[in-house]
Amino acid sequence: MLTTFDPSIALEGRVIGRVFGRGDLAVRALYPTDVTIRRGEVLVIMGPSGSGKTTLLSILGLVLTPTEGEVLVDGRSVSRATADEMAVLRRDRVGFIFQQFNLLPSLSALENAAIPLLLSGLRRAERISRAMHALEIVGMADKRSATPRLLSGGQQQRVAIARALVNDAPVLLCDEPTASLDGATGRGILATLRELAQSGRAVAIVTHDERVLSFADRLVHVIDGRAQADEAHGHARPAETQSDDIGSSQLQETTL
Amino acid sequence: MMSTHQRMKSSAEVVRAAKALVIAVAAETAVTIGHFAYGAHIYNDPGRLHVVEPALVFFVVAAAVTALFVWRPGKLVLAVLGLVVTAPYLALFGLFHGAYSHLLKDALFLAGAPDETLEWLFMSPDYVRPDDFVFEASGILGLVAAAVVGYWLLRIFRDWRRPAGDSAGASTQGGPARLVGLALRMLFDAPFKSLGTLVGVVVSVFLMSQQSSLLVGILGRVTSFVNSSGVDIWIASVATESTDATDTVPASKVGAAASTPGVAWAAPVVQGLGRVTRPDGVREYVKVLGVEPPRYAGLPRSLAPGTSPSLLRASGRLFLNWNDRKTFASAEPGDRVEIDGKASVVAGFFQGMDPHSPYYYVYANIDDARALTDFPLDRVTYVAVGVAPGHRVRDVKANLEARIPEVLVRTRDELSAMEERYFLVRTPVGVLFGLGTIVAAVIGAAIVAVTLYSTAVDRARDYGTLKAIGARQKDILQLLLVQAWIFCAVGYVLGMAAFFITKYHLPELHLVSPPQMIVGVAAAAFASCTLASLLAIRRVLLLDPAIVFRT
Repeated sequence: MLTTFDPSIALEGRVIGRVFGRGDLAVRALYPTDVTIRRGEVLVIMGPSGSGKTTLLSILGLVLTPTEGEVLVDGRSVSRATADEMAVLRRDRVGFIFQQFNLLPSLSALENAAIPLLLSGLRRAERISRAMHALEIVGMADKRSATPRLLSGGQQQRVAIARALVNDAPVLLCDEPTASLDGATGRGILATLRELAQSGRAVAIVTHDERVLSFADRLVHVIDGRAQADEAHGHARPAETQSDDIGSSQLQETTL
Repeated sequence: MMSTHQRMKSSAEVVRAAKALVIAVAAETAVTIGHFAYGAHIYNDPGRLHVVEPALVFFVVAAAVTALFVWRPGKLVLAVLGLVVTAPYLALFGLFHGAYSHLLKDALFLAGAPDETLEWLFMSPDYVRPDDFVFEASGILGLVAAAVVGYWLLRIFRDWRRPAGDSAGASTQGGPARLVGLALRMLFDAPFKSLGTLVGVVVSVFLMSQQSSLLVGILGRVTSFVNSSGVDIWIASVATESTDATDTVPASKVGAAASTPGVAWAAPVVQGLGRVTRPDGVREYVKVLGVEPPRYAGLPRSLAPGTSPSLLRASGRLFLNWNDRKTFASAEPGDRVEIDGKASVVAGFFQGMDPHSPYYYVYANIDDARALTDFPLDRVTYVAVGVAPGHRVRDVKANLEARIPEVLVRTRDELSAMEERYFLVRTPVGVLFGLGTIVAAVIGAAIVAVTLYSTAVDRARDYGTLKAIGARQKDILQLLLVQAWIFCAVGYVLGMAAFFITKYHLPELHLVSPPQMIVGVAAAAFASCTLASLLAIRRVLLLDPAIVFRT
C-alpha cells in the first residue's frame, strides 16, 4: 500500500496493540490505536498506573514488539527489523529518559552521557567531545567527572537527558521523568524537554503528573489499555514555526 | 526489507560452507591420524596410535553438530559447533600440534637451537628430533588443514547472519563497539563479587598448575634414570615393561651391539636389588647399578663436586644419590655403607636423578655390582649404546634390531615413554592428579559461573538500560565475554604467580613448569571462564529491555 510520508512525523504507531500471554492467560495491555509523534512537539501520554501507557511507550520506543499493527520511523516500517536492527534504531533515532535515571553507577557523568557513542563505535576523542557538548546543553558540564552517587536526582536526570541527546536522536521518549524529583527540579527538567522539542525534536512524555500538562502540545489519555487523544488539549505546532521560541537557551547548540 | 530470495541464498551459502567444513574436518582428521600412525611406525612407538580414537570421536561430533546446525540453525547450535571445531581442530591439532610441536620445533632446529632447549620446549616423549621429512611435513600439514577448517567455520559464522535489512534505514554495520573499558569499569560496581570471582579463578589456576605440575614432575622423576645417563639407545630383554620390570640378556650382546654399523660404543649395565642398612639400622631395598670402566656408560652425567667416575674403578666403592645423603646421616666420602652384609665405601655422589621409586639407587663398578647382588657373570641387564656422530638414532636402532633380533631395542625417548606408561598404568597417580586437575578446573568454572550469573541478575537494570539505548546482542556478548576474560587473565597471572612462589619456596615438592603446562593451564582457564560466562550471557541476552520501564 502506497502511503504519503509526512516529514513532520518522527515516529508513528499504526493500529498498535499488545497482548501479553496466550490462550486463557492472555492479557490485553493495549488495544489497537494510532499514535504519532511530530517533530517540534511535546506529546504527553497520561493515565493511571497499569493503564497501558508504559506499554505504549515501550512499543513506540522499539523496546517492545506490538502484537498488532506496526511502528514507522521516518515513515518506514520496522516490523521486519531484527533485534539488532531495532537496537541500532534505538541507539541512533530514539533517546530514552527514565524515571530512575538508569545511569551506570561506576561511570562518570561524561562517561554515562557517552555510552550511546561507545555503542556506535566512535573513537574516544569524538566521544568525549560530543558527550561534553551534550552535558553543556543540559548544564552539567561542570559535573562531568562526578559519578551518579555524587549527583542529586535532578542532576542525574540531566545527565540522562544528555545521554539521550548525545547521538542527536530526533525522538526523545520520557518515562515519568519527574516522578523521582521535587517540584522545582521537575519543572526545570520539563522546561528543558520543552526547549528540546522547540529545537525540532519529537518529545513524548509518559506521566501521571498533572504538572506536565502545561508543557504539552498534545495529550493522549490511556485508560484500561485504550488510548484516546484529548482534542481539547491539542495544539500541534510544526517545528519550523518554533525557532523563535528558543530565545537565549543553550539549546540552540544541539547539533551533535 | 530482506527478500525471501535473499534468505534462501543465505541458507544455500551456509549449507555449502557447512559441507565444506565437514570435508575440511575430515581431511584434517585423516592428516592427523596418518601423521600419528606414521610416527608410531617410524619411531616404533605404539603410544602415538592413542590419538586415533579421540580423533575419530572429534570428527563424528563435529560432523553431527554441523548437520544439526544445517537442520536447525540457531545461535546455541552455532556456538556448540564453534566449540567442537575450534577446540580439537584449530587449537589442538592446528595450533598446538601443527604450529607449536612441528612448525616451531623445525624452525628452531633449523636455526641451530641446542638440543637442551628443544627438549625443554618440546618435552619427551612427544619430542623427537626432526629427522624424518614426511613426519614433520605431515605435522605441519595439520596446521594447513586447520587453517582451511577455520576459514569455513568463519564463513558459516559470517553467512549465517541475516544480511542487514533496510528497515527504516537501520543498519547493524558500522564500527565495532569498544567495550573493553566499559566491561572493566562495570566490574567495579560489585567489587566484592568481582573479588570473589577473581579468587575463584586464582584458586582454580593454582590448583590446576599444582596438580599438573606435580604429575609432570613425578613423570620426570620416573624417567630420570633413563634420561640422565646420556645413553642414546638401550638394549634390554624382550620381557621388559620398564626398568623396574625387566629381565637380563646375554653379555655377548654387548659385543654384537658394538660391532653394529653406526654404533660408537656399547657398554654393559647390570642392575640388581639388595638391602641396604641405614645408619639408624633400618634395612631398605636398594637398586645397585653396575657400570663398566672406562666409559661408565649408564652413570648419570651430573656428579657432585669432587666426584669423578674413575673413583669407581677401585673395588668396594660406590656412589650414593646426593638426594639420599641426609638419610645416610649426611654421608661423606669414606663413610661405610652395608648392602646385604657386604661393606662398601662411599666414593662420591651423583646428582640430577631423583627416581620416584621405593628403592635407593647406588652405582658401583660392574664387578662390585655383580658381587653385591649375586648377578650372573654371563648376563647383563642393559646394553647401553652411543650413536656415532653423523648417524641418526633411528637408523642405528634399526641396524641393532636387524643384527640382534631377540632383544628389545629402545631409544632414550622410547624407553622414557615406556617408563611413563608403566608408571601411569601401574599406579593411580596419573588418574588422581588428572582428576585433581579436572576438579580444579570445574571448581573454578563453577565459582565464576555462579558469581557472574549472580552479578548479571543483580545488574539486570543496567544491562536492560544498555539494551534499551542501543546495545546490540553482540555488544552485550562482547561485554560479558570481556568481563569473563578479564577475570581469566588477572586470575591466571595471580594464580601462576602463586604457583611459582610455591615452586621456589617448596622445592621438595618437585614442581616443574614446562611450557606445555603453562600454556595448557592458560587454555583450561580460558575455556572454563568462557564456558562459565555462558549462563550469565544467556541470562542477559534473554533479558527484556522493557525492564527499564519497571520501577
